Amino acid sequence: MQQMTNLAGEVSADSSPAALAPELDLSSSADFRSVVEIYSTRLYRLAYRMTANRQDAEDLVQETFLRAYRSRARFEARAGVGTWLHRICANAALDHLRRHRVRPQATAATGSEMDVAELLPSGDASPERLLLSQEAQRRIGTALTLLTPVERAAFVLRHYEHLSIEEIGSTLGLRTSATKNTIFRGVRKLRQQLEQAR
Amino acid sequence: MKHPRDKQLVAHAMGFGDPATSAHLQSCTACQARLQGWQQPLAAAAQWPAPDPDPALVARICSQLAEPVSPTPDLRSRRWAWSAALATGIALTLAAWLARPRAAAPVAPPRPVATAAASTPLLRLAMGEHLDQAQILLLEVKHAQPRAGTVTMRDARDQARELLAANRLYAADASAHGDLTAAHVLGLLEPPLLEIAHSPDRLDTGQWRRMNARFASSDLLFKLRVFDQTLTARRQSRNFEQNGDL
Repeated sequence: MQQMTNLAGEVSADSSPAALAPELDLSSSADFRSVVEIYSTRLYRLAYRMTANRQDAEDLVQETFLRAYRSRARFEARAGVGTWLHRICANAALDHLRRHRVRPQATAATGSEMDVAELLPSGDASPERLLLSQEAQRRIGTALTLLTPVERAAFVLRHYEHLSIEEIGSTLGLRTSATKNTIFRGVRKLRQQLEQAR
Repeated sequence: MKHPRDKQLVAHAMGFGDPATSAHLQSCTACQARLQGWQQPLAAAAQWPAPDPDPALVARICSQLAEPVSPTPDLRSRRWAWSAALATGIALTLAAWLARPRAAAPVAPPRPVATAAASTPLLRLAMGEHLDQAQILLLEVKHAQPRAGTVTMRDARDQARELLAANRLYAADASAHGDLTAAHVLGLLEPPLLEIAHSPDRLDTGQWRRMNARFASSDLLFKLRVFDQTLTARRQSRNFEQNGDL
């Protein structure tokens, strides 16, 4: 099962957005409900990682499905329902981040010290380790909010959603080289933030 | 090969590196250490979990798609009495039908107006919401507060661009279903949406007044309100007939 999970512990081997796409008739309300059931959790996680805020993530998922419903006539089946929804959700989240300087609820800044190495999985699930883990999660969330919206979107789509550079570029309207540069800037900021916390 | 740059190491760590960097890393312990420095924050970030959504989220989304969208208080306060709106809606429907193009005989017989009822309830709901948003946009432009002699159009412009794309889809769908009234009203909505969508960041008050005067001359807001009410009446009637349909 290990090979089926990504670094975030989620199914990854066959979990590209398109891989979950069954053949659905989006003009059918029953099929559209199925699409909502199949993709809502996945889109929620994407939106949460973009915003670090549960309520914002829920709002974005709802907005995604509404936008998808309204524009389903433009949907091209060859793209895959999941890829299409991911693109809508990522852009909705990007719009949201651009409009608001998001202060995530789960990332209250703390003054405690922590080495990045401590954030790595140890296999030890002691209460102390779990407490550290919660602290680490807050720190990661805070560090990610310091990325620009596009850097954050590019990073999340690559690191958690495993989209290809071309897919990310297409979603964000960036050329391949700009997409790579954006991801690099995001990772560099993330590293700097985590190292400053030492 | 000379040592790869940080950007190349990050690309490698994130799975889109180039073969030359991979080959270099096989033999260069210094670069392996540099790579590890990049892998640590990535591994740490990977531990950041995303929670599951509220189990009721799916039901809420489906309900949002299925139930009539509540009008905003701003609009609610402006809505007319049901009976008057419905009567005017019927008149508008009749007027649109009478004003339909008749010059060129189509190859295939046109679909009758009655086939509008064949549109899906979800589509009618979405169109109703679209019309609500369009009315809100036009009202916001109409009641904008000029500051220092100018009116900011940026937000309205962004919204108009979104509405414009949707408007064309609904208009095409309405035409395809023979819903001449909907196609007509949506067609009336396109020019103001186009004008707002192509407006600059700021309009001076003279430009803004002239824009509103153009919108007012077509009685568009009135027609939108009436047609929106007609859509709602259609939906409620259909819900009643089908007893539980969306």
